[in-house]
Amino acid sequence: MKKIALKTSAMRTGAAALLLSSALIVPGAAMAKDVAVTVDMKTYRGPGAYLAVYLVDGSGRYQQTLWVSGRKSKYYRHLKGWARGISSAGGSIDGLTGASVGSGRSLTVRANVADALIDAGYKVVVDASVEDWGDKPRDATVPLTNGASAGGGGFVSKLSVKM
Amino acid sequence: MLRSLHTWPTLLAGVLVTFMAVTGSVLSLEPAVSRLASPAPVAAAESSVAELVAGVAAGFTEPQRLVQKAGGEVIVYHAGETGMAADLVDPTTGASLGAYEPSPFFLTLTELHRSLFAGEAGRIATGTGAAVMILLSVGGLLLLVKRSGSWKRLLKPSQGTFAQRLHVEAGRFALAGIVLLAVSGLFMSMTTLGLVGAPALDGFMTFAESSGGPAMAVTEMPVLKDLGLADLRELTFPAKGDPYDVFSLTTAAGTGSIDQATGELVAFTQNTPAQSLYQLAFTLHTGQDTWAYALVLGWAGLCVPVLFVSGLATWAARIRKPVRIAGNDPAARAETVILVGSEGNTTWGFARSLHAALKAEGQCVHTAAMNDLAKSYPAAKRLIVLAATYGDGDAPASACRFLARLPAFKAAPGLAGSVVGFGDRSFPAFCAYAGDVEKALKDKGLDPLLELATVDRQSTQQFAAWSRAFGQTIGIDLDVAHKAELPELSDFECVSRRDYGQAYQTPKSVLRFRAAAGTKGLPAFRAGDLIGILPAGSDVPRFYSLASSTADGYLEIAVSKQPGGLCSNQLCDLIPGDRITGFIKGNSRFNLPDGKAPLILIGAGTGVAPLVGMARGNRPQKAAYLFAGSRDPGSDLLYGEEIEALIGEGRLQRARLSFSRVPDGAYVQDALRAEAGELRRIVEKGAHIMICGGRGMADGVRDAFEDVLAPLGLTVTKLKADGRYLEDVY
Repeated sequence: MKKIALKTSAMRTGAAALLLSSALIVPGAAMAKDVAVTVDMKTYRGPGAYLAVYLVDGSGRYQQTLWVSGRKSKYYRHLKGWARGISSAGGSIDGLTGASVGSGRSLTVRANVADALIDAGYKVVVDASVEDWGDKPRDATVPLTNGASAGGGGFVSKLSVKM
Repeated sequence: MLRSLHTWPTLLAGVLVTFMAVTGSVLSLEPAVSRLASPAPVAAAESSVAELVAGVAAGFTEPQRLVQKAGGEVIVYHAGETGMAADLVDPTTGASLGAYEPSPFFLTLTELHRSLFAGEAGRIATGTGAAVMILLSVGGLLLLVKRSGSWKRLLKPSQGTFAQRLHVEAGRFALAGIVLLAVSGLFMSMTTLGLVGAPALDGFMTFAESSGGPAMAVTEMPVLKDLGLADLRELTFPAKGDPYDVFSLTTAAGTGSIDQATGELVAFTQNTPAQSLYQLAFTLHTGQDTWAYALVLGWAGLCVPVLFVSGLATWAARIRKPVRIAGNDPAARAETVILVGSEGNTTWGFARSLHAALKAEGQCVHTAAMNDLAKSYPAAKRLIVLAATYGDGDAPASACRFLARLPAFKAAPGLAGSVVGFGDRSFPAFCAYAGDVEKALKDKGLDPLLELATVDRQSTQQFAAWSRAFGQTIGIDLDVAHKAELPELSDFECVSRRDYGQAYQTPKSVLRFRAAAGTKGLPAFRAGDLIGILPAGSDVPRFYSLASSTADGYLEIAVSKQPGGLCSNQLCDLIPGDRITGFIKGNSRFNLPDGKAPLILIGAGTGVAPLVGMARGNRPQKAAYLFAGSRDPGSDLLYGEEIEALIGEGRLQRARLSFSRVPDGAYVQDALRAEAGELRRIVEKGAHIMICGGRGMADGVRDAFEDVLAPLGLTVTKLKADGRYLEDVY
């Protein structure tokens, strides 16, 4: 069991954890690509879904957060695949958070991803959670490859990658 | 202060609180409705969690979460066509029993109840509503204690306007339930908002991981094999395709994780006190597992709108600008100053009538609330204080600061004062506050113009008597006919009269009426209620106790002819076919009591009439004893034959008649002393004692009863406080 502090902009405390994850995100450099990940939600009955969009390696180990719903960390434990990963690996989610995504809506996340991860067995994963209905970790998984797309098992209808 | 704490939160949050109570009351139907719709399947005695989980894992392609509800239903959430689907499953085998479809109506209402569809802000609002409800409950209880006079009298019949009584009755009925709901609701809100039971540092999380090997068969997992079904709350399955994920297990005792490869518990956290409290709060607030309990709570919740509306009505009556005193002279010039201490504004009505009467006599008069006492009244010769009493001798609303301001008041030499107390004799502290004020004014050096006068239950006659005495002291002819606002009037037609007492020049008549032709029929009334009769030539009503109930089919009163009395003379001259005009005024504290406790009825003269009326409506199960007094059986014994008939029917157990103008005559109080032993026996059975008649007789009866009760260690005051000694005295 490991513990980490998820830093939000409200509680920035030093740069050590930040450095750890920024190794994979190279801002504006030639070694990285802009990737657009689109999450289409099913039409379900219930309030907006909390989502975590993140990268895992070939063996399923957490690598990098692309986007998280909600700025309240108390909801993060419902996105447990992602939360477990980031709690092991550490990292900041500053600037990567946004609102929950309602039934039938879609979300497009744009991220700068290192070339080394693309077409290299890494996958984009979405964890979803809807109040009263429960959590769906690994709702959808798709290879980090241009044009890849896959259906979801829970609240996600389609997860697709463009770059 | 206490009252402001009760009023302002209501004005600010009353609609919110009422809304939550009403939605909550509707939600209280849910456990009963869902139980009726689908009875919970019963688990076999030997069922194990491992078997259940294995059945679920086999029967569903991607089970996500398994929940056992408080009522024993087991629900499986699994990936479905549209997001997540839920199935009700057999608690023994895990086999699906069909889709679990909680009513969308109740789901929506639940969301509305806890967050008003406004997310976090809504949750803060509803939590605040619960806090306000606690504040109102505690404040209301303290106000009720203050109003009743003491904790011991909390459950005594309430007094006041309809709205006030409704407020008190609903509050007493629902207080416990409302407090329970509000406290548990507030605790749940605070937990959800992270104010209690949250991790010490926001953002820190701990996660267990599986060791990553191939998954173990569920039936082999020791943790699940050892767990009793009753202790299972929730089990979350590992995410499909994530070998590092764990089973998350919630039991009655706490939460833990199971390694999907080894089947061992890798972490288990006992419930913190806050979590245990949350479970308790949830159970108490929702009543999920006991539908009957939920329905009871729903009733308590339904009292909240009643409390809200009756409370608002009471508040509105209190703040309504009481009086615009027509022709109010400035305080600095007034010869006569009238100060008013009023709780529910009725005393202001008397003040206005007095003010108008004095102005008509050419006086320069200033009228104000007692709280507005000036530093001095330079031109004043007379200070009149009209003071009601609140609760057990406290100041009424418009006088609450009077005694505090009095030390700063400078009484001009020669200033004379007269205090009139307004109250209800059924309260032990009758006009106690007016007495305090009179004493304080004497200490201040005011000459007493008249002794303390009292007005019982807004008696216009008593006020008029004081006004005549007051007028005489200042040399004017004053007769204040205060006119209260009259309710809807009805016409009654005299159908019979019986006359008594001619031999003693005290004529009395028993008059019987029916609804006048062309009217709606008799209004609703009970023996002991009052009829306010408007005599021809006056619009000030005179009140008489009713000797019959609507069920008797007639309206009956007994009238004693008063020399010079406008109304009694008109009534005693009625012949069958004549009409009178009046209205019914309820007098609920002097109606036939409920229950089977015996009844002791004591009356003299016309006071016997309402007591006979009560005996007419009595049943033999309730033993009633009548003590009736008159002068002479040959002349003024009212209802002699009827009393015998009532004994024959069992409606009266026994009657003892006393006659004062016969050889060896006796008063009714003498009869009480003679029967002391028997009376004690009856009182010990919880008897109610009802006395009706003149003030002199009532005082004599009271003295006699003190002697009768003393060996029991009881007093009349104690019985009065218990609502067992009821007087209707004129």
